[in-house]
Amino acid sequence: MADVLYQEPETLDGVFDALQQYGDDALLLAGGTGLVNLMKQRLAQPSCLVGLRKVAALQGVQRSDGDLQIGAMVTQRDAETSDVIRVHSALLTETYGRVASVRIRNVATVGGGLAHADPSQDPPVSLIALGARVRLQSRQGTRELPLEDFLVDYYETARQPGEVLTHVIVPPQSARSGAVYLKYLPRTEDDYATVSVAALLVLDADGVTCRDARIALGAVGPTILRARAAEDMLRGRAVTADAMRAAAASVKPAVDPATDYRGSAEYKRDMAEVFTRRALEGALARAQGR
Amino acid sequence: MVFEQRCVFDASCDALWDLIVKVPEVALCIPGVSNVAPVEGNSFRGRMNLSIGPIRLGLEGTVTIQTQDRATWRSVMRAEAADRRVGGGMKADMSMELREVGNQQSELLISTNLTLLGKLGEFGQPVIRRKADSILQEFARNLQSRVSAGA
Repeated sequence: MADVLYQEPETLDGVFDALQQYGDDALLLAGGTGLVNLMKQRLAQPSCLVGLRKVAALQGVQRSDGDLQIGAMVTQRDAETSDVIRVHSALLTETYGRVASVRIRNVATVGGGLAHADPSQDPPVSLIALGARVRLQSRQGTRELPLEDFLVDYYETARQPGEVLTHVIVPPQSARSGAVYLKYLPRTEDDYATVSVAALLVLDADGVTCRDARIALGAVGPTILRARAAEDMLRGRAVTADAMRAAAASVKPAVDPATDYRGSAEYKRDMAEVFTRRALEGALARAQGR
Repeated sequence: MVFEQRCVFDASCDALWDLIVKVPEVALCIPGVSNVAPVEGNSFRGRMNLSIGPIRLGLEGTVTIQTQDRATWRSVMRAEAADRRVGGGMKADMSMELREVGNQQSELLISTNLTLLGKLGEFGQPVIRRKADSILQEFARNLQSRVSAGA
């Protein structure tokens, strides 16, 4: 790797100073599991890296007005083992436990993973199904936006120059709801997914009618995809086996996977349908307390 | 991988053709392209900068015009470029074809067969494909602006 200036401010103001001073030549470094790989391949060659690990404002997991608030620099291993996160959303605990290996999770961070914007990652799939938002802060102020709007394209996000992703905010899960994350791994347990799906179902008091549905798919497009047509097919109707099968079938033409060594585009489309149906069946079982 | 794009311009084939054959000028319609200069014969060299999130590529290479036939409104060219720092490159066979679609309107069909080499190939065909698609779209928009401005 080429020489690079490394700065490690202890405050967000220090980070903003560095971003202002070095502009486009500066990149933020969280855990580094994504960025350092790009630097080793010389695909990314910043002249300055701004390390975030000493910024206390980016640490911590807490509940706030019913929402779960995760600091961007919380490691994925800490997210996986956090009691606060598990009580708020068992789905997140499960999902962070599926990321790569423990060694990776000990280094990779919650915010760094999202900012890397690789569509094959696990957490953003579940976070989008849960309706998560990201908080971005700059000298000009703070803004929040839905995670699905933050993830724009392969490796590209809505983060503007001078902004730092500070927190991920996850709303509480409704009563009579169930959520599942499925990751299809035909190769090795620590691989990226061939297809991944997270489904959240919220039922009416009758325990059968769908009040709300959120379905997100990973590794089948340039970013995490919301299966909105499938969600619309379920809302307001009884969640029967036929309804779930029909909703899952609507996913197949909506995804845009690429052929690679994990499978052909056609195969991934087929698997997107299969795993969406299985995720819905699992979410229904959980929502019904089965 | 093959990309195909088509766009309609408010200009005659004659006017559009006059612009397309001026390689150094039309190259400036491609986002990220700079330093385009003739080398020898029908070849031009130039540089193209690409950014994808934190990734920065600087491709340097040549474009050679293989056919330019005003009678059929068809131009064929080959581009070869490499990023020496990254250790990867690309080869592209590109054809541009015009056809009249109405009064003072013409359609440009661009067909690109792109091959990625070395690290660029490993990095991910879908990423590059996506970027190439957005570059072609912006190229078409810029070309439209130049045609509209009577450049």
